[in-house]
Amino acid sequence: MEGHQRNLYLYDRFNARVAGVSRDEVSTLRHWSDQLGLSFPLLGNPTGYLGMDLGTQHKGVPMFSRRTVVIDKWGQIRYSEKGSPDYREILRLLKQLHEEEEKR
Amino acid sequence: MKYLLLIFISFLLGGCLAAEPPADPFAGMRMADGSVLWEDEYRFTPPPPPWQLLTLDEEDYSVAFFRGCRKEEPGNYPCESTLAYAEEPFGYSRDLEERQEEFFRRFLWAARVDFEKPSLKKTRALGGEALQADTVGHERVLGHKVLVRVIFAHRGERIVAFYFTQWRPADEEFDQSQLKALENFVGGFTFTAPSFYEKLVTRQD
Amino acid sequence: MKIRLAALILLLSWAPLAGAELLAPEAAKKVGDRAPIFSLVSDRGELIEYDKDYYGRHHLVLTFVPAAFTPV
Repeated sequence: MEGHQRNLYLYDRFNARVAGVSRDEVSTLRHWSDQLGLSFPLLGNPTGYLGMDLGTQHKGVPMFSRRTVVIDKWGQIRYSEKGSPDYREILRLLKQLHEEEEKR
Repeated sequence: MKYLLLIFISFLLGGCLAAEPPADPFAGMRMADGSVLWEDEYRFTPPPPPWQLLTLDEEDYSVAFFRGCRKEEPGNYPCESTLAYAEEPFGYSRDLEERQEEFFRRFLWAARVDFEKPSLKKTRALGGEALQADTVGHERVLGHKVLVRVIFAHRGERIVAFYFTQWRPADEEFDQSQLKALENFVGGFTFTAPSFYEKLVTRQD
Repeated sequence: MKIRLAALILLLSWAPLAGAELLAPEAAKKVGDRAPIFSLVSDRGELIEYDKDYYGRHHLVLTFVPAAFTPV
């Protein structure tokens, strides 16, 4: 998550926003956000439906698997990779999306 | 499938059992003057022995050296020193002083250290303005302390850091002369190519 | 040596998960699909609604993590 916070100024430049999502309660997420000093939202999804929708909720495991999904501003999923975020890959994509925006 | 797994595992283990000689960690990267060119982007002169390479991490773009205690320098545990360059030090801000504050909230958190308020000094590094922070951290339960110097500097729009740490038991003196190794390391450190971020924000027409 | 060991560990850690299936795999969206519409409450207690806050306005990066206070 720190990588996102560190790159926030670049996300802003590319007209992108970021949010973390977990199955924790929002009160837990508030403390975690404070501890890390984050200024982007952490979304609580205790029921797990968003993870199910985006293919990151496995059977028999009460937590999401790590995954980063990028949705362009026109509502299309452009990237979905499991594991810890590849911040550089994400930045390259956001730069490209911003360039697409400018062309439209 | 199970068979393939078995064959694969014995292949891997076979490789592990064959003893490999210790390699020069900088093989292929050495320049004529003894400096090292890493990733075609970083040029630095490694500190001399007894400093040894600790990590050369291509994932988080950092390089670290350490030295332990030698017979010639008697001292009780702990006595390790570390010298490092971090491309992405803890924290987020692109302002030197703010980044320094954020950094010390997380630095050595796993070592359960609490830091005295750092004394700050404006300085120069990497061809630009830099901020030097000096402090001592205490692990009171185990009776250890650590001397810390961090130099925060600019690389393009972002902040990078060099840091030095030296551990001692609470009742022993620090060896300030080791800080010279940090000074020399920082002084001899240059970039030979733009960073990923510098390339990212350059407009391509 | 380190690489072989890492490969070995990676292989062994994958083996038990080989059977771990996705919950609702038919519904799971992939690259190229339309994003789901969702509303969730944030750590600041705000209701975040995809359609109001992001759709037509900003590209959105969503990082799913197993649990707070663990490495991402």
